[in-house]
Amino acid sequence: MWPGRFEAMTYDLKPASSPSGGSAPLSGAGWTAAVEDHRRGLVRLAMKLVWHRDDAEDLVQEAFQLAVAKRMTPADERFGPWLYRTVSNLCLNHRRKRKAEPLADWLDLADDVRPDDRAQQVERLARLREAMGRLPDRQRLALTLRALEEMEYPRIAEIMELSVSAVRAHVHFGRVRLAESMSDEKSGASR
Amino acid sequence: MNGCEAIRAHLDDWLDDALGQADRDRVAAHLQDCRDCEAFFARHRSIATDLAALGGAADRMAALPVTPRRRPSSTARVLLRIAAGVALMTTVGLLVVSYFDDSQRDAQRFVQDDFPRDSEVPTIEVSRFHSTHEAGRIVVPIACDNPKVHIVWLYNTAERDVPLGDEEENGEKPV
Repeated sequence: MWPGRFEAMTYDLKPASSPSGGSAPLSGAGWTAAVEDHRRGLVRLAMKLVWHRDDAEDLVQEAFQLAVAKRMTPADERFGPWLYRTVSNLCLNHRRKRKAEPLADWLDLADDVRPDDRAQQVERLARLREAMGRLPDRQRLALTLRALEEMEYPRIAEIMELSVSAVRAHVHFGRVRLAESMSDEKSGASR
Repeated sequence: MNGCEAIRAHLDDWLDDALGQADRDRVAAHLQDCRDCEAFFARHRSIATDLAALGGAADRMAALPVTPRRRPSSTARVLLRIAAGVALMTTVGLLVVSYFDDSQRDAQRFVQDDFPRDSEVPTIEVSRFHSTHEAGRIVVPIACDNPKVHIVWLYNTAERDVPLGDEEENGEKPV
């Protein structure tokens, strides 16, 4: 799979039994498959929080290393939510050292969009991304999971270890702040 | 809660397409009559659409194939950082030493070239004993073996008129 650190994690690991003692421990190949399933989703989430591919990969790697240190296994039903929560916390605490990826080449805009309109859209989305980065952490995470990851509220509540109503409140206030921020910037820009 | 507030309370479910039919119809009817609420909902709809576009862009970035990177072990990284620090300090030290060395060398060059250590600052002998008086001019020979010494002749009137050739009689020494 990956040379270097991640190989050491997948091949040296001894499968552990699940906390309930019921299900059989995963083999090394099972571990690898489960990790790969989670890894893609985690990298997508990390990208939406840090906006740099290498940083996202590093943070996901770090989360898996923490899972190994805590002796968590894919057989554990808490494994998935724990991983998402750990990756989210690592991303929110991550101090960005590298510039966010530019958006222009990654947006799915129609071919018949005029260059001026395209540039305006790119600029508006870049401002929106910056405004998301300025939200309080819980609102930012809740809104990212809901609006960008399109996750259901109960799953978001499980990841954030909050009630569904608390998650809805964070999403709501995140949307309100975002709208205020974008309209403030727009009125400031038009002066 | 007035009409607009009651409608705006449905914003999140409206954005999430989670409203029941009755509530959806009620919101639609209100938005047709209320420009403020219509603008409010439109602004939030636009932001939700833009957020979905951002999510799509992030997914496309994340779908790039990974180029495996082999990172050095933690010990090697620590050693690399120490080596980088030593190299930086050495470079800074060399720059500082060379700066002060140049300054001193310039000063020394000035001293060595112009005023050799084993000799004193050259004196300029202006001897009136060997001056000649020609046609209203006094020609005063000035001797100095160092070409870099510039002689500035300050014109001034003599304080007293000492006839030429009488200095020894008057007890004066050459200047």
